[in-house]
Amino acid sequence: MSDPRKPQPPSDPWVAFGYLVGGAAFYGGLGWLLDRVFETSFLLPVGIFFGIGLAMWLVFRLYLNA
Amino acid sequence: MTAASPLNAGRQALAAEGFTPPGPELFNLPPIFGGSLLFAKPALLLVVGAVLVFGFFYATSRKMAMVPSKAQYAGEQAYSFVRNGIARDVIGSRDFMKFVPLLLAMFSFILINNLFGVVPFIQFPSFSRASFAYGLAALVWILYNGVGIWKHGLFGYLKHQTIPAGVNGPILILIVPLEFASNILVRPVTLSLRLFANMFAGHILLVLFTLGGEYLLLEAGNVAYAPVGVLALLLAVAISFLEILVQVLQAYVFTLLTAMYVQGALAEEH
Repeated sequence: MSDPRKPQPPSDPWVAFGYLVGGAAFYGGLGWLLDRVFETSFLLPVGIFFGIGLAMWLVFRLYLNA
Repeated sequence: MTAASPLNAGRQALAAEGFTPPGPELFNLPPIFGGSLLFAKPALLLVVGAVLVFGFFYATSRKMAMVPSKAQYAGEQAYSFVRNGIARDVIGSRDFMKFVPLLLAMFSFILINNLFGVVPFIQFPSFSRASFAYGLAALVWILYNGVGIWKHGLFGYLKHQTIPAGVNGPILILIVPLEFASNILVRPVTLSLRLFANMFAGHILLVLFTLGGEYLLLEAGNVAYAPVGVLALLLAVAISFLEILVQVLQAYVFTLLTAMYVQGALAEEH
């Protein structure tokens, strides 16, 4: 315990959870807003899937490089 | 009980047979002084917990000696566990001392309040009330963002938290809001929900096994149910030990994540 070891980059596995929730919430919210603007109903699910896809890309990138 | 949810339907069916399983109303406790719902048992437990933590460290550090007494040894073990095991290992030897008092207070305070869940005659984990966990998480949120802004400046810190290392080009437009949501908005939510949900579920589980066992043994009016009731009560004891493990672990995890967030805000690069 004497050496001041640095934690490896994704030291907190909940980072992945944060990305997924953040992605779904932000891009889902954006889709919902655009749905209200254009009076459509398909942009909310598109936004959610897009956000989750982007989040998964980030997660894979982070954990595969580590 | 009027909502037609499957949960309520199930509970009503059971209630018709004489046993009402415990639900979220367990956590609505009556006020202690006067009529204010703000000061009920959970709030009293927070105050008692704070006094106990202060008393413990005051008593164990009052007469410091080179050859420590048993009490001093216990206090020093708790201190060095948080100082070396959490603060120094995570934050790094350069900056960690500034955060040791907060982390030690936080760990002891959460630990004692969680353990209240299995202490006989108290038996209520304070942080099973979500608002208290939100309060603690808000404190952590202010701390790590404040530390980051102090270290990098406001824009430097936002850049630090929202632009991951090694990502360039137009994709940043898509990534930055996601990183912001994940690192600034979602973190305090997951931090508080983890603590609250563990304490909430553990308390319901214990109450269910205890009341269910008591009902089967004494009130069901059927001798054949009695052995099952005894089994349920024995399981309640076993689950109490499991709960102690969860309670210690959640206090540790909360403190560890606080240290990790501070480290992440202080770091030169990701």
